[in-house]
Amino acid sequence: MKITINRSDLLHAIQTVYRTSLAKITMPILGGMLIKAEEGFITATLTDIDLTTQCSVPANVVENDLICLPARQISDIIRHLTDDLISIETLPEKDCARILYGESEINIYGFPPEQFPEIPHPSGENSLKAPKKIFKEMIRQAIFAVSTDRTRPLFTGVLFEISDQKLRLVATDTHRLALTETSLDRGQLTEEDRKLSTGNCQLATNVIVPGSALNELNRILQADEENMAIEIGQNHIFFSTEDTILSSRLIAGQFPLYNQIIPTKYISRLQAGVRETYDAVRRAALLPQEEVPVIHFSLSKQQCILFLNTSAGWIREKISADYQGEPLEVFFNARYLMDCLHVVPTDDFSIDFTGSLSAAVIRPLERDNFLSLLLPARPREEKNL
Amino acid sequence: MKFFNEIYGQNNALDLLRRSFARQMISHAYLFCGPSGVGKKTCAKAFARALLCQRPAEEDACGECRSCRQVEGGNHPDFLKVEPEGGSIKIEQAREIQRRVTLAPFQGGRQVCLIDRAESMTDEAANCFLKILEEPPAGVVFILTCVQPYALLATVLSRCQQVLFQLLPVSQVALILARLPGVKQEEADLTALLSGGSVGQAFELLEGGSLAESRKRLAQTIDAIDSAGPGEACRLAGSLSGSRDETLAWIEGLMLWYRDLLIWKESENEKLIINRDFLQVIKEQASRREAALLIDRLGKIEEARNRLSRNANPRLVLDVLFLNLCRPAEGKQGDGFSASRK
Repeated sequence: MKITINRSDLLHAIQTVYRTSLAKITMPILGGMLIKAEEGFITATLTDIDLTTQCSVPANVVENDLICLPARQISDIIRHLTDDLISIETLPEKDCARILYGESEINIYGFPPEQFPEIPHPSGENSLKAPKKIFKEMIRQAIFAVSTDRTRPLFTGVLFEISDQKLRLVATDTHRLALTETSLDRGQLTEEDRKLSTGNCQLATNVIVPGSALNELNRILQADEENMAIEIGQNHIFFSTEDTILSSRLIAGQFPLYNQIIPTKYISRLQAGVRETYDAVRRAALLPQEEVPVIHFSLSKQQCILFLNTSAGWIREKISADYQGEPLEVFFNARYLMDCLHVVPTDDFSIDFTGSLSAAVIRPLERDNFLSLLLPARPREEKNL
Repeated sequence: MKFFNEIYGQNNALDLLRRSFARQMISHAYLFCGPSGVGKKTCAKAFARALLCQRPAEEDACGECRSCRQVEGGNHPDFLKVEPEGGSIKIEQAREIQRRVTLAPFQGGRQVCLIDRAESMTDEAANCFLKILEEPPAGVVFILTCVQPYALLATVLSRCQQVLFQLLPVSQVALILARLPGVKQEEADLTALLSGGSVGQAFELLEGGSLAESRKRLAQTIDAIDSAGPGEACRLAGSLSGSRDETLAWIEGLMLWYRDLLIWKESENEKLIINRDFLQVIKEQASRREAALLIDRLGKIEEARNRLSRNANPRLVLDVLFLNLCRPAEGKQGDGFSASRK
């Protein structure tokens, strides 16, 4: 390999991929960063097996080749160089690279590149495109409901479902569920996408993507109008922006049939302002207590009141809301309620109740692209005051 | 890393694995059980490489493709190796297995998970692992190795295809040892005899330094113990005790020695003696002892070995053993330790 490259370009590539090395290293080779020089570009790749990031930047490539260098060292070295133009060449000795800058050079030993995991590549087929902004918002609206319970790996992922011209993201930890969708029928579809969304495609159209991968994606994704591509492969899902590809292994298994648990009949409905309710719940949760704050909602046509009693004190908040239906006493985990209200995209929201111990459905007003299911908590024994 | 045809002695096990590989009838979980040091792990690695190979030959891996070289370098992304961390396989490790196998394979094809010394799983880890085995993810092959299959959960045991490994014939072990650089034929023969058919044990014996030295000490100890009182017995025990493995080595040494004495007493057949180089000492010691006493002592030593395997304190095990050995065999009085506790 022989390349000449701008330091800032190289640094951008290295830093984009380097940040993703999160998980602990289980194999020696994962401490290495693969650098590939090909036809005017170099691509830096880092993987912890679960998650792989690749970033390509333009370079003056004299000779195509692959090299695998210790990620941490190469990142530190490039960061500390001051010259603008850097040359990298592989030495005839085994897996050794020479970095030339100004009149000086660094020689660094690497790993045999063939030991590096075989990096999956998107085939370019069956991909769909969406503006980054929309996609980032969707991730945010689903990811809060992902479970962190490692004994049930299925729930640590987010379901990506493509059907009826829609991309739907669903996450649940069995106490709550979040569902968000976007229509693919906005002229954004390529010919392939149309096949995919009308069911002609043989590929699985629902897959489970690890929540950790989406968190990482959310972190590196700029919220702008530019498009990003999503491609679902056999074992991986790819998220590509102009210079970066993030790929994650899929979680194998069947996601629960979430449609069956979304209630269709309700006994009552509450409408209120998101901000006002969120603030009230948050104030109530501020009272110090040993367990998760569980907030008592006392709802009737006349008034809607939040209570919380703890050993440290108690709070009573009245919110201005519109309630229709029989009076209802219901309890919610404050943390769960706040997580959900935090991502409701409108100023007002509604909660549809099915009973004091069965699922309630939270929806933004006048939008149908998001809903969250929340199971009420069991009431704690009221403390005497 | 070895190919199947480079592994000695385990023909039954190898045939079974080769056959199932050739027919691609791969079970989701294999349990390789047998004594330690006979090639279970070597075989497990060879099998794993074959399973992951991209261009497998009829009955084995090619050894040349990228996958094979990755397995060899310890860098295959779909090959997970788990071994005890500080004595046992912990729940954290079991959860990591669970997480890894629920994800789709990285390079396509299979995922292989090798669990070494599976019987060392803690209860929590075993139950977590059982959950994975109950609903094995498609395309994942588990290979467990273990010395004591009965120490595993019965429910784990019944969900694995068992592959039995046996002790190698002593001549085979000698053959392997004689090929090592700097090992003389006599030394190889003797070590092989002492190893009892375990290549791993033979290697340990070779590394452990002079074979004659430690057995000279054994011979002296055996003479000393007969005339020793309780105080002297404890002193002898103290001089031999060390780590668990060292203590076990001494106890097994004693056992072989008493075996030789008994064999000589009963058969006077030189060919059956293991400690050949000490033949004169054995003959002399055997002539001074009754067969009943030797049998009694073998029983006590066996008892001590069992205690050690049940995690008793090595020093205490040796103390109790030597206190037992220093009294004359008095028929029914039996175990001195438990008698004194009564």
